[in-house]
Amino acid sequence: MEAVLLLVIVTIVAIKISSLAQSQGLMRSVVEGPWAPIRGMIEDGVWMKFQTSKPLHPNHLIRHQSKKGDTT
Amino acid sequence: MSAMKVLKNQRGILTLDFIFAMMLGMSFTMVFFALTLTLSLVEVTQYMSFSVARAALGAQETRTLQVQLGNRKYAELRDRPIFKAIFGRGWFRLPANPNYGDPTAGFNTEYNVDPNDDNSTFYGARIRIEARILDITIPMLGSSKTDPETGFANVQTFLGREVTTQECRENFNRARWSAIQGLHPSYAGAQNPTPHLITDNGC
Repeated sequence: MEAVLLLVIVTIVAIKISSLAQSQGLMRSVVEGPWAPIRGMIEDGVWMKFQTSKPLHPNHLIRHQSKKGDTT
Repeated sequence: MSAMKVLKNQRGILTLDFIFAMMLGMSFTMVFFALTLTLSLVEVTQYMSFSVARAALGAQETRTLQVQLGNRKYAELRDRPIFKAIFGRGWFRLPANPNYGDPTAGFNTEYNVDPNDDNSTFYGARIRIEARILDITIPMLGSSKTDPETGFANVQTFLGREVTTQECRENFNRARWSAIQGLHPSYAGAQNPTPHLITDNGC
């Protein structure tokens, strides 16, 4: 008879986990959470949210180079 | 089997537990598979955007011809069997043609480059990829996407571009010629027939 009790407990735990996952947005946080910084890296090469990453695009860097070439 | 024996049989007790655990495991496997596949495909798209930007970079008669060359490269890459197999499944969506930004400013405005600065830093090709594979709904765990921008990304390459013959002729040589003519009335030359601009050594 304890089988029925275990069955009920397992079902309750499963339903509870399911409702908690839906209310807390578990799937959303797994995908949407990392997507914003990943998109920042894809678009602008920095680990930031994609809209705030634009001013930090490496093309904004001022690069200095020698016009004299290598000297000994 | 008697009714009493059926009630006492405990062999199926773990089935429910197993189904739940299996579903959880499969769900997370699906999500991580979708994420890793998306990152891999972004790399492929990055290669495509680089090739397109490189094709559209070289000098041509007009900007339209530069863009046409970029579009031809894009179509050529998309039509390759390997890319067709990847992008033809509906998991990812690519635009019909890449975006080259504003014809005169590229993406400079979007990146707040000083418009008075003669700067072609943010010129190139942009491919807006949509990873539809990331839009997953699992009945007991909910949806993976609530923000409509999730799964979208601008895969882009900024290589700059060379000036076109038309731009060189009209925006530089003709402007210079007009400025020279404006220096002194005698430089204007005969008005009938009107002098023509002849470009020598350049454009």
